[in-house]
Amino acid sequence: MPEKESDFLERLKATFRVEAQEHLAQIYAGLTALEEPGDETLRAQWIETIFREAHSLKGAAASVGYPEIQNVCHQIESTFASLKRKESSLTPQILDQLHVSVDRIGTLLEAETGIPSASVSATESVSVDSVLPQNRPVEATAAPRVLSPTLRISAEKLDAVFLKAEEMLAAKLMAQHRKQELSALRIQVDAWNKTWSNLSGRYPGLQAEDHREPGWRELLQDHTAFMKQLLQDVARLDKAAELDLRALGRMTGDLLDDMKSALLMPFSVLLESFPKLVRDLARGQGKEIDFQMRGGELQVDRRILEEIKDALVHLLRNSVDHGIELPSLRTGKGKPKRGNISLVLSPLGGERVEICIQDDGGGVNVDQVKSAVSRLGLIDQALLEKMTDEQALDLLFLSGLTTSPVVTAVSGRGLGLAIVREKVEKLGGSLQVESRLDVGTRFRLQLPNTLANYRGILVNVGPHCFVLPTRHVQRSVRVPRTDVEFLEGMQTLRIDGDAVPIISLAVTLGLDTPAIDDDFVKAVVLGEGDKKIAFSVDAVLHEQEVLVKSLGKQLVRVPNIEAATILGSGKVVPILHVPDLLKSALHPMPVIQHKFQPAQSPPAAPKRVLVAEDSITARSVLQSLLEMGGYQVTTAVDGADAWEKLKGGHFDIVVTDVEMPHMDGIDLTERIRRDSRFAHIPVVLVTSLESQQDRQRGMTAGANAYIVKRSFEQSDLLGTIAQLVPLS
Amino acid sequence: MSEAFDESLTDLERNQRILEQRARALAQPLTHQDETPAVLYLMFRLAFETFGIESRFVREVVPLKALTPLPCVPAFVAGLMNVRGQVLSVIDLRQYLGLPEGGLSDLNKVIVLSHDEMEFGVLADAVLETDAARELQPPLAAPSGLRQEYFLGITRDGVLLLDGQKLLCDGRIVVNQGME
Repeated sequence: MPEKESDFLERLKATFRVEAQEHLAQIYAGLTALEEPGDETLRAQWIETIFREAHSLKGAAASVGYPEIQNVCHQIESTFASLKRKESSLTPQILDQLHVSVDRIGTLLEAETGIPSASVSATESVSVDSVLPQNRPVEATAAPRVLSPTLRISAEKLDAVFLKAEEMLAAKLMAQHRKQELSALRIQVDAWNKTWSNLSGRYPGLQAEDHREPGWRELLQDHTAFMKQLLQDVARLDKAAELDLRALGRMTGDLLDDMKSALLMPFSVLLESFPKLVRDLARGQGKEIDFQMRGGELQVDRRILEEIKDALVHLLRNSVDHGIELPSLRTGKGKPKRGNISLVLSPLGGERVEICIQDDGGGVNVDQVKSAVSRLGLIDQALLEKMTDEQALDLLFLSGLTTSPVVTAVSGRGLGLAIVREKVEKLGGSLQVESRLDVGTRFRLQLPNTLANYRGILVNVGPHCFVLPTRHVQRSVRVPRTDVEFLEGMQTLRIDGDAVPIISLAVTLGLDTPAIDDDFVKAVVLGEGDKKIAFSVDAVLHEQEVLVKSLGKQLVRVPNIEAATILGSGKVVPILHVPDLLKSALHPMPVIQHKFQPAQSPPAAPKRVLVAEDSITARSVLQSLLEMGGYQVTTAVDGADAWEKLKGGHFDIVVTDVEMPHMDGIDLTERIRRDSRFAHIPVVLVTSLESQQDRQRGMTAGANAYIVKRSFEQSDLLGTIAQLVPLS
Repeated sequence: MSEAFDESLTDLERNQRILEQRARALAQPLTHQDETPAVLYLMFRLAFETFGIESRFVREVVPLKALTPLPCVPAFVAGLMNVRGQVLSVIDLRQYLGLPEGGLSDLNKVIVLSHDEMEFGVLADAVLETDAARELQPPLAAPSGLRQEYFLGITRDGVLLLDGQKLLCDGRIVVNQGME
């Protein structure tokens, strides 16, 4: 379609004109500054600026097919390259020459693009004019002003406007809240009206017609008329509020969308520095590398660009450092001496882009990865051996892992890839690695190009309300309590065939809230793959858009809490930090008593422990140990006795021997787990047995911990119990 | 004095003279006390003690409304509050300064403290007045167990003067605890 192609070229040229003017303006400003003797570092900065601008202009000219402009830019670039290397110095002759060159670009632009000379933009032309020596040719600098369709606006100002636009969401949420209140009021008035009608049917005295006295009749007539009017008014207000809300929603939505597109920038601004980075790194390591980039014109939200920069730099460094081999090694392998790294951006559709960083280096040695992982004891050996190469490659993203035998200044500290993935995921993206030994490695990174509106799911835990970021929530579930199974000492749920551990959100956050006795378990599933965890909550309320607010200057970073938001009602609600939650699920926070309560609660009662032990000696030892630790202890002589005592009292934890007459500790544990009244009580098995089998049996039964008597010391037992039932 | 009884003067003039003389006699030279402007303190009550904090650290005083408690924070962080659309963390100074617990406290004000890059609210039972601090009593006789380094001293009338600069700037009040 030649029609479309020419259209495209026209648009491209228009873009180029704007860009060229900006570059030229910078170059002119630089040349002007360099005419005055001045501070050396400042001069060096200008030299660098002009060099870069000329280089960018050269690239832009090449891409739209203006070889002459390209040539002139190349000359300017070379001059400045040698100035940069201090191989030549800036004489007045050179400066004159440069001015002529720059003017020539202006003329060329005029000729080639058919627009009036844009050799210099108006603002700069004034300053150039006033600074330049009088013998400058006047026509070149006094170019007519061309108003650029593009404005330069400081990022700071743009951000401020964007933040204010985002704040409009608060207005929308408030309007939503008002609308809900109005609807509730309407229902109330409606209900009262119905009640009144019913009553007046039953009690004749309530109808106007029944009264002879004009006073009563009038009063009741007025009341009827008033109720009718009130109903109409409230209904009208409710409707109007709904319309207002919709209008406001549309307006804020449009505003935010427009703001978001104003924040889009081409990827190229980020990529500019990469060739030099790769070149310098390669030189430092004696490697020879060709580096290509494609797709820099793709647009992306400036904030994403800022966030992702370090991650990309890290991946590139990785490619240079771990990927590309030394030239000698490459020749030995029969590969070309020069390595190749490419960074390619491509649109994925659905407002997403893919960044692909590929090298033709040595690839990742999967066996080395596995052995590094096993050396660090990060993953069970048996599991490691079963892993496919693909799964094993994913281990590269474990924190603490490095396969590079040497920690260099560049990489190999074993933190990088974990952080890169975390960063990418934080932006709502994903990152994979593919690699073949001696062929190369490819990192594929998918990113959204705009930041989506932040949505959150509101959940209740006791009196507390929290927001979970929707993008982290796999799903929410409501299942009968009887579906909860005990596997490997953990409560688990079957979700899509997988056993997913279920952990109380309250416990994870260290909140001391009574568990609600309900036949159903409500939970939100967080995490991915085999790292999924279901967090039980008291209620999953609804999903909504939330405006993310920082926790304030005094709370820089709080475990498990990412930020806060303000609901339409004005209530502040914490937003939970999901990666933290997944980590803390395994190590719950110690319970913190919230000292601030409008009505102060009495000091917490000591925790009650039920000890089941048939040996009288062991029983009294346990009792005195626990009492010294600040617990209130009740003893039972065997499992059956313990079961009876459990039913008759309230206990926070059960400590039981395994081998006992009548009912042993395993049976007791099983019975406790099966009964919904006691299922939440932690059980610690204490025994002289040390066999793996016994331990397994205990854990399967649902015990939370297993302590061997021979090894148990005061601290061991108390420590374990304190973890399960913190003393308040 | 003789002038006052000068026969040639009218009663009115005589009275005027007398008044002028009295005024002269009573007049005092300006003292130099006021040369340095008085440092003003905002006084507030908390847990049956009266505290003072230099008013330049006080951004505003707001009534204590819904306070959202936060999990996973030190006990001295009472929670989060919405102050005109801004989320503000609120500190319980009783916890932070090691004030003896005990006794119900009638918390209903939040004093928003602000300095340089730091900002937070502190709970108070009541806000009293803003006043120049009276003479400090040397040596500091503060309730025992108090983190003394946060106090400038105690005035003769028993007001504990907080070191606002230290409270806001020494960084120990900042919670910055990531997951390892």
